[in-house]
Amino acid sequence: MVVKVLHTADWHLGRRFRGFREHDELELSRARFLAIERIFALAIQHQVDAVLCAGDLFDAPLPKERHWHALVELFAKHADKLPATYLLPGNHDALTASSLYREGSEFRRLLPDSVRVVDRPNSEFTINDEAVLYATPCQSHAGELDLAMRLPAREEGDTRVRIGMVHGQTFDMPGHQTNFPIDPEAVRVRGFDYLALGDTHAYRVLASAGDDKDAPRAPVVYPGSPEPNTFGEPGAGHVALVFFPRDRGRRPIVRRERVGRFTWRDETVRSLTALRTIATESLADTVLRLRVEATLDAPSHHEATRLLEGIAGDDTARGSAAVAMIKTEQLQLDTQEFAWVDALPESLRETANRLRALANGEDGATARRALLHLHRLAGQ
Amino acid sequence: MKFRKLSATHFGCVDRAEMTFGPGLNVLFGPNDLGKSTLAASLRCALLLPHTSSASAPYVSWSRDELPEVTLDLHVAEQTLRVFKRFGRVGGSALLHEMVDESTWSVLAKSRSVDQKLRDAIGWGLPRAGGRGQKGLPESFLTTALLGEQADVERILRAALSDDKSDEVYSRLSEIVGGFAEDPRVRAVLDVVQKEVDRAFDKSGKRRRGRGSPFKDVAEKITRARDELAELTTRLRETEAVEEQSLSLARARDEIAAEVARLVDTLRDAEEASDARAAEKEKRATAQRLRSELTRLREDDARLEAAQHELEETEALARDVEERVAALQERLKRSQERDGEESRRALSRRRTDREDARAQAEAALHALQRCRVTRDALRDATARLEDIKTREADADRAFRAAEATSREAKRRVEQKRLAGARAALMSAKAAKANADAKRRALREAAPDAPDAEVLRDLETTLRALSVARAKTAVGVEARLELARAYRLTLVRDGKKTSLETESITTKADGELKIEIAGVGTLTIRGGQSESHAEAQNLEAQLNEFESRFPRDDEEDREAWARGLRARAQEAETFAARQETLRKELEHQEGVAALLSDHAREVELRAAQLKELGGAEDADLDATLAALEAEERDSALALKRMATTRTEAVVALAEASAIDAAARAAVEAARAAAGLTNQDTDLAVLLDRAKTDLAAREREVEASNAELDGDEGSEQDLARALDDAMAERDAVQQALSRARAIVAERSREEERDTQARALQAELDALDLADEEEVGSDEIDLDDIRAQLARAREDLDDRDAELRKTEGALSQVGGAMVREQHRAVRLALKDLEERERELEIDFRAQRLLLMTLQEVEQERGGHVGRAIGQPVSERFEQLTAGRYKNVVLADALTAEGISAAGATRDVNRFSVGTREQAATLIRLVIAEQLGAPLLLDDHLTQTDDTRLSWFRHALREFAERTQIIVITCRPEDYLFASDLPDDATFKDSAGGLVRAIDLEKTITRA
Repeated sequence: MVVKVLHTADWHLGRRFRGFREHDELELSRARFLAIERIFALAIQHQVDAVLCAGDLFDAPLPKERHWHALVELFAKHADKLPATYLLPGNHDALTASSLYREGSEFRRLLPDSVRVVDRPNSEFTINDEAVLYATPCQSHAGELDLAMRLPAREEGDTRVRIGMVHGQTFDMPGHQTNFPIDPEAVRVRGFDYLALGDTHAYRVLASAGDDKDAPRAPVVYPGSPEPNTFGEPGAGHVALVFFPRDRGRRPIVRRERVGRFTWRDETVRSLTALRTIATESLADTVLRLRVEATLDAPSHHEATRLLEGIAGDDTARGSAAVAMIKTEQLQLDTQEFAWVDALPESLRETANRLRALANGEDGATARRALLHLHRLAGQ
Repeated sequence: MKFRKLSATHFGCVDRAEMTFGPGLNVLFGPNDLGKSTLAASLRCALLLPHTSSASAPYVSWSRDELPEVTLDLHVAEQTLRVFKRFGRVGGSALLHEMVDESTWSVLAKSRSVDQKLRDAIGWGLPRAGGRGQKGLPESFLTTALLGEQADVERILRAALSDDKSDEVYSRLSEIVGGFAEDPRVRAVLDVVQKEVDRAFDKSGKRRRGRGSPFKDVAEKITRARDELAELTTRLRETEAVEEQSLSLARARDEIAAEVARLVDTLRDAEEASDARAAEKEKRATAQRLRSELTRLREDDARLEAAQHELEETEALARDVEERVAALQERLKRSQERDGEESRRALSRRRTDREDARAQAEAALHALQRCRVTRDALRDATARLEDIKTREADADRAFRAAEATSREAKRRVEQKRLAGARAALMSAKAAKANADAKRRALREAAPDAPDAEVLRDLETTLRALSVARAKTAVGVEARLELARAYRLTLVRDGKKTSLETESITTKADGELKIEIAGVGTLTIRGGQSESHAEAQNLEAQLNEFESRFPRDDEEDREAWARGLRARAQEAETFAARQETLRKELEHQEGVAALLSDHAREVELRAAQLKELGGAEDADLDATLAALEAEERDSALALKRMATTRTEAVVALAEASAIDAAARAAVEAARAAAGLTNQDTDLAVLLDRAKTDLAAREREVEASNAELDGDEGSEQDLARALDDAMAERDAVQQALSRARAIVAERSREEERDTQARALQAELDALDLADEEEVGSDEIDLDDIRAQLARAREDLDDRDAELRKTEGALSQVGGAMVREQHRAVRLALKDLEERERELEIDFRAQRLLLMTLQEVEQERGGHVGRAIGQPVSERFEQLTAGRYKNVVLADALTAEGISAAGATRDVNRFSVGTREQAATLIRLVIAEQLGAPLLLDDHLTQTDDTRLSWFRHALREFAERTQIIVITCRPEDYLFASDLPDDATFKDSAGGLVRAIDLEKTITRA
């Protein structure tokens, strides 16, 4: 091998996970740092020559201190074994005037020497005698410049492995117009052997098979986010290990490695049976959004509620799912099935009957909920 | 709830009264007209009457110019409160304190907020303090039942709980007396639900929003999310606007780039077409030349035919001449043989002379012929010159017409520009007016307000004064005894009152001044003199502030300082607005200056337009583009005209040269012909020369004939021979020429070859059709100009695009879009959670209400619940005579059961009714744990029943506080309960307190 690199991007440290409970937000936030630990371990295990971090490592240009400090500590912890690591500002953590990547910042001061920040356009870093990295940072949150096309082209007689690293979206992606559009042809036009990209959160290799004659010769790769950021990112949770063979006629070998812990699942159940099945599953590494769409009688409703509590947990106990977001707007009470009231004292029975009469009226939702409260309280 | 202490001052006929209540039965006794009912009223007023209410008017002090004051301490809901009220529209005040410990009170409410706070605390279902239509003492079922006035029996019996605006009392009574929820499961449900409802809703049923509210957390999160979303929406709009602009510019740029590409193609096509046309022209010239060549060859053929014919004739002639020469030679030979030499020489001379003459005539003729050729050339040149002159004149006219069109176009364009400039002038005027308005706004005087430093000084001084006053407010009391009544002016802590008296006891917090009219002034101050000096000093400082910022007489210092702060804030706002205005003014002045320049331009353009002539066109907007095109066309036409003109001038010069050359040639020909300048008619001369030549030829012929006719004459023969030989030579020459011409016929094949070659060449030219070639000139310059303009446009768009791309880097782009989406979804979730919570707690409340309703229906109504203990006691009181007091659910007395039937209360005696009313009140007070005020309620009750009440009241007093006001203490007390010389006496282990009002009340 001429050179081995680990390519990662889009850590989004400090990202808010809105819509989740506070402790779940913390869980998801912590998971990012654990994923970075695994990335570093992988780099050390494969003795790569460089770790390329292709932007959006933070969710904002100036994240909270606890987030960047935790990263600094991780770097310090692995400083003696970790190879040269290159941090590229992306569109989220752009190299703006207030960015923590600015020269002289506390973050920069605390980083080990082996960690380099790409803080100038067209920066050139020698990885080893036979490989060189060219990179350009994002200096704003949006732009129309094709940063890849602005990287220097291969000079005649330059036989080194040339790796380009920028952050942006290739033309074939929707909404590219403001997010640093990148022409995948840049890899060919600029004479790169590999174009390391960041921005999209799913692992993606452009024209890797090489069968397409029109496809770029060298790989253009998005490693994706090491942990998914939201539902609907099935390709997230990976990094790319890239091996450049000595035979320059051969394409680099790109291998996808999983580093993420969580699988994000978005489920809808429409029966108590389906809910019971999910409740028995192992969800320890699952971030679950569960919608319940069913009309159940009060005892079944009560059971469903208990099962959901078991999945989601609460402030005092963990649920079976690592993180859960439960949606019960469509979990309705069946007021036709009313046998449960027979066992109640007369006052409560009469109360239940009156509420049931209101259940189909103007404020039926309130009456149905009141019935559920009554069922719950009377059973306690 | 229990009353602890009551103090009234200047309250109607009561100048001063102060008492402390016991927890049980309190019997306040005293003679008539002492002010007992006034004391009861002071208690009601303290508890219920707003301090500014006009209903306090009856309680204005009878003897003093002082406002009535009352202080009531009470214990309610685990709190000990002190309410102080000074009644009066002007000078009135109210304070509500909460006791921290026995000597420390903290202020809970001031002024108007005191009453609502108090009403909230006692919870008697009173309407909101300060609500519309409230005058006097507020009324509710409980105020009537618990604090009802003397002998108000009917009112008590008819007071309906349902008249209350709030169902709070009903709920409480229901809960207390209903006796429902006996089933522990029902009780448990009720308890839990009640707690949840109380957690979520306040007494008025509104959602709680403060600490502990289950809605608070989500409401705060929603507020934060909305704020965040609003900010992100703004950023997103900026992003989208810039993106839209960028896309729109990129599209426009692409369109222009396409236009440039199209024009480049058009130009290339046009250049190719132009080259093709030039080549075609060249080909046509070649073809023309080839055709001429062919024509010439064909003419040569005709000429050869003629020459062949001529040759044949000439050969015949030659043969004749040869025969004649031979004949003449024969004759000459014979003549020589017969004539002498002399005769032949004479004939020969004459012939020679004639031939000379003929030669001269021939030369003259040739000269004239050359002259005619030259003249023809001259005519051609002159005609060409005339043609060129005509073309030049046409070109000149076209040029002038184009100039006129151009001038007109310029005039109209100038006119349009003038219209634009005038619009700009109007804008300038508007801008100036705007600027003037802003300038006027700037000239507005800044509000008179203290600056921040002064305000700080003022607040420091106020605080220092407060501290200094606190140091002096140690409390002073003075008692003044005078020999006779004097007019006194009391100044207590700065508050002045006047009265006429001979003795007075008064007190103040800090300073007390008594001015005795005509005697002198006594000033008593609490605290150290340094503190006074400091306070005085600070007062002086404040006076100085007040002199700068005057204070209204009725305005207290606190309000004044608040006002100053507000004014300072206004001044800051004003300054900021002034700054904004100043900036806007600067900007608009810049705009106005710019527009003034436009105005000057207007004048200039107007002048230019005037020079160009013509009236203004009213609708130039629609035709401006056409006019500019026309102007461009005119310019092109001018350019073409100029070219034509130049060509014409060159042609004219050439023609003039040819003319000159032709004239020179004519002159030369004339000279050669030996003509004078007078011989101007060349034709005449030519004819004359021809005639002369013919004559000469005739003479020669005659000579020849002479020679021929004189066969006998040797000389004639010799001449004839010479002539014949000359003729033979001429014929020989002609023959040679003809032969030479005919010989050319032998090259006919060569000419045919040449002609075929020419035709082939002509055919090979492949001339295009006239239509195909087109007759219109291609205006390459115009296309180049369009291309240059399009390229300039493209450069402009590129510059704009770069600028927009620069702006794009300042906005959030996809990041903001992501964040906006995340916050929007989170907000939706939060709002859903809030709705869920709302439904959840509304459901709890609905459950509670429904369950209570069911329970109440099951357990009986409040009336029956209250009626039961009342009836029991009433039966005891009447020794079984009357059994049942029937109360409606709203606690109105419906009737009393007597003799097996329920009868209307009005059918019973006054005494019985007052006893029933008292019992109802006692039971309600007992059930609610509220104090009961009985102001001589049993005046119509006989001793037996009074005795029963004496005991019954003590029994009730074990559970609730009762205050009886009476002039007959023995109706309620035993003799041993009465105090001797003391103000009050406690008995029955503290359950009963007898208070001697004579010793407590000072009448006014």
